[in-house]
This record gives sequence, C-alpha cells and structure tokens, in this order.
Amino acid sequence: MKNEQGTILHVDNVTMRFGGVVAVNGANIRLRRGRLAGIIGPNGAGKTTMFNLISGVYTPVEGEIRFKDQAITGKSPDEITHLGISRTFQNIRLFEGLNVYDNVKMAASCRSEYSFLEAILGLPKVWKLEREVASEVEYYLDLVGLSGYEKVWPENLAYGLQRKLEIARALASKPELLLLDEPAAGLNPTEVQELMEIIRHIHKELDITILLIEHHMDMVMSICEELWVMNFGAVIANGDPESVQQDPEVLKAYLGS
Amino acid sequence: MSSYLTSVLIFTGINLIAVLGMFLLMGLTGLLSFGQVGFMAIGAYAAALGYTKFGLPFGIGLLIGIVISLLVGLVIGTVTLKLKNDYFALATYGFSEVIKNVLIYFSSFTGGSMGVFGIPASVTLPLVAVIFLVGLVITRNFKVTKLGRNSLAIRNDELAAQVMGINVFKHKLSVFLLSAVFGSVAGSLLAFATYYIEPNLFDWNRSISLIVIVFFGGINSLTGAVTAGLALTLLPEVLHFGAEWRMVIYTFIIIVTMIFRPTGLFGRWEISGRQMMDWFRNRGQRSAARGRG
Repeated sequence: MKNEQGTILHVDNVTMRFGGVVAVNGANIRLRRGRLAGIIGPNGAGKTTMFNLISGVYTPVEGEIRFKDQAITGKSPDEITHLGISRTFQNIRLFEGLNVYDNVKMAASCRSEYSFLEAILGLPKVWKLEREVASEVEYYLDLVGLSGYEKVWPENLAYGLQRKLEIARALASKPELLLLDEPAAGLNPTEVQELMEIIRHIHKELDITILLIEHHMDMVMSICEELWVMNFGAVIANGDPESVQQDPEVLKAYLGS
Repeated sequence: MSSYLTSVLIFTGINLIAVLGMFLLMGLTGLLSFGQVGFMAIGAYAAALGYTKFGLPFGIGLLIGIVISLLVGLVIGTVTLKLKNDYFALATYGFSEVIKNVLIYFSSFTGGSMGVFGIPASVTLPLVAVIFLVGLVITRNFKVTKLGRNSLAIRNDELAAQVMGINVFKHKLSVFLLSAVFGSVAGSLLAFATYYIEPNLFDWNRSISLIVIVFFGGINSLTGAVTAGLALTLLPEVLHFGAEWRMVIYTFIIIVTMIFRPTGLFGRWEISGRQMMDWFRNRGQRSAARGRG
C-alpha cells in the first residue's frame, strides 16, 4: 500500500468569515491516512464550519485544503465526494422520498458507469450495473445493522437508526476519508456504546480514515487516536486524547478562566 | 370505434405524453415549470410549418421540433436552473409567454395570431399509442435507475444530494431537456391531429393542467400521473364539460387534494408485474381454498 503513514488531509491556514463573524481563523490540520481522529470544542467553535469547508459546502476566504496531495479548495461538494471524501450531517439529512434501501443505493450508484441515454433506453448494461450495486447496498446496510429495514421510509425510523442510515449512505459512496458530524448527538447511552462499536468496526474493516466531531467526551476519549481542539475558530491544541485532556489551553476553553 | 371516440383518445394520448414530461420534471425532480407549453408550441409549429412551408413529412418536422426544443431548452435551462425553484417557475412562465409572442410577432412566417392552416390531420391512434408507450418505458426506466434516485434526492434535499456526489445542475439540465423533448413531441402530434394551430392553443393554462394532473395523481407515482392524466382528460370530454369550467374543476381538485391527500391520490404506489402476479396467485389460492371448504 502506498504512503501508508502519509498525510491524507492538509488544512493549511484556513480562514472562513461570514460577514463580520470569523467562524474559522487560520486553522491547521494534518490528518494521517488511516487515523480515527476527532475534532472537539465548545459550541460555536467552528467545528461544523470546518467540515463544510473540507466537504466543499463553503469555500475558504483564505488558506488551502489538500486531499491526497491535491488542492480541493474551491471544488464543488460533488467533485470532492468523487475524489473520496464523504460525510454525515449534524442535523440528519436523509432523503425522505427514498426508502432506506434507495437512500444507500443513491449514494452507491452515483458513480455507476452508465449514461443518461443508456439509462432511459434501458440497455442491458444498466440492469447489470444496478444488480451489482444492489449487493453493495446490502453490505453497507448490514455493516451498520440496518438489514431488514430496506423498505422502511427513513422518517419512520427511530432516531438512532436514522443516524446509522446516514453513516451507511456516506460509506456507500466509497470514501477514503469519512467525516462524521456529531454521530452520537441525541442517542441514549446504550446507542452510543453501539455506535462506538460500529465506528471502530468500520474503521478496521474498510481501512478508511475517519474524522469525527463529537461532544460525548467518553466516546471521543475512548475511540479517537488523535484530537484537535477548536475554540473561537482556532485550533488551540492537537495530540492524543490524554495529552489534550491535560492541556491548559483546553481546560481554559472548557472550564473558563 | 366511432371517429369521435378515436379523436378523444388521440388527444388524451397526446396529453399523456406531455404529462410524462411534467412527471419527470415536477414529480420526480421537484422543478415546477410553466414552460412545458412553450416546448409544445415549438414542436407544433416546427411540424406544422415544416409541412405547410417546406412540404416536409410529419416525421422530419417532429425531429426538427425536437432539435429546436433541445437547443432552446439548453439555453433556457442553463440560464434558469441555477435559480431557486420559485424563481425558476417564474422564469419558465416568462419563457412560454415569450414563445407565444414570438409566434404572434413574426406573422409573415408563422401566420401570427391567425395561426397555421392546412395541416393534414394524419396522426392516427396507433401512432399516438406507440409513441406514448415508448415514452412510458423511458419514464419508467428513468424512475427505477440512478436517474430517478438522483432526482428524488435533489427534490428532497439539494445540499445533501450534492454532498452525496450528484452534480445537481447537470442532472436538472438533463431532466429539463428530456421533458422538453416530451413536450415537443406532444406538440408536433397535436398539430397533426388538428387541421389548424394558433398561438393561443399554447396558453399557460395548458402547463397548469399538466401540473394539476401530476399533482393529483401523486408526484411520486408514475401510475398515478398516467391514471390522473387519463381521468382528467377523458372525463370532461365524455361528460361534455365545457372548457370554461375545466379550470374551476382543476382548482377545486387541487384544493381538495392538498387538504385530504397531500401526497396525491396514489402516493408512492406503483403498479408492478410482480404485484399483479401475486394478486392473481392469491386469488387462485383463495378460490381453491373455497372449493375445498
């Protein structure tokens, strides 16, 4: 495998402003390939904005973002997805017009190599590729424990299952870097435990890099190998969970001074 | 079959072809467009003028209509599809009015508000039926492949759709162009099903009636759109409702649908071969059970 220990994501001096508000301020992140890492910080620290910058929802006003040594600053979200970054949302955004199965199939088939014309003419190639995608969908649903829910409409799923479905959908686009925006928000303690197992399992089984934003400290401390702490748009600390926990800047940010 | 019934069926079939285009655009992709009638006008005039001015046969006129619709659709789509949906609806309304007025203005070529006379009514019911079936298969293929999933994703949440890898603008443009082709073909058939066309045939009311049909049948259901298309085109004809009452009835239908069945009459239900097989099999088992009992 090439460049096993290399850096998959560079965020270099990135700044994002909304009018007068500086949401992200000269932030730097260097994420190594294969890591299971996290971004933590108080509310309004700029964590989700950081995800929106990496996934192309926003374009930074200053700085550069590189993925696999390729500049992705200014690329559109769909281009970035095709390069290998996928994400979930803090406020779950599933497609309510599609059932559980088709939510995942949408993401899995997006790259299917048949054209618009081939699809409407219904050429044999189209149905063959559709069948191939179908088995992938089953795999990802199984991975997050949603087998058996294929025909259910996402809005009828329990909240915890909706979170899992979002993860399955993000995985179906075959990312090398998966961004999880508060995957444990709104889950009860049992569900959080279960989710931690799923994330660990995905990380190992699919051999991908995962970066997550989380408020559940227990979860972050137990599953993340590396952390970035953000406050007022800036990265104030970086390191393994233990050292970050002792960092005076971090204590100040969380406890106030 | 009486010639009256035949002609009613021909017009119903033509309307259904236009409905298919509207179903793709508004039903699956969530793009409310008042511009479908503009493409119908282009198709109708291309076929009609092709015949009366240049002596071109219907098939060639139909193809010319498709090509012009695609070119016009490419320009209109590129300009309007980046707008928010409500502005897109307004812009397409403007487009269909412009087409109508262009047809009136260039009267030396188009006949202006006098219209075009002398078109042979050579469209037959089998021809309309075949074209409708081809359209139906295309629409069905669209719905069950990634195209349909991408459309529904865009309709539901454009940002999430983009983040999941869909080039939203490109997809919308493709759907817009496909629906323009459906409109254009319906228009060409309409011209050759009558002896005479004029710009006011392509009033925006015609777009509205397509919207009502798709909305009534269910924006998620092709079965619903086609059934509603059949019902809402055939019934007024058969029951001899005056055209002046049609809009009142349509308005009433929209209000009642919105209150009692906001997902449309058919919701997400689709007729499928397997379901029908299952139904017949169960029926067989039930009657066999009765026979034993």
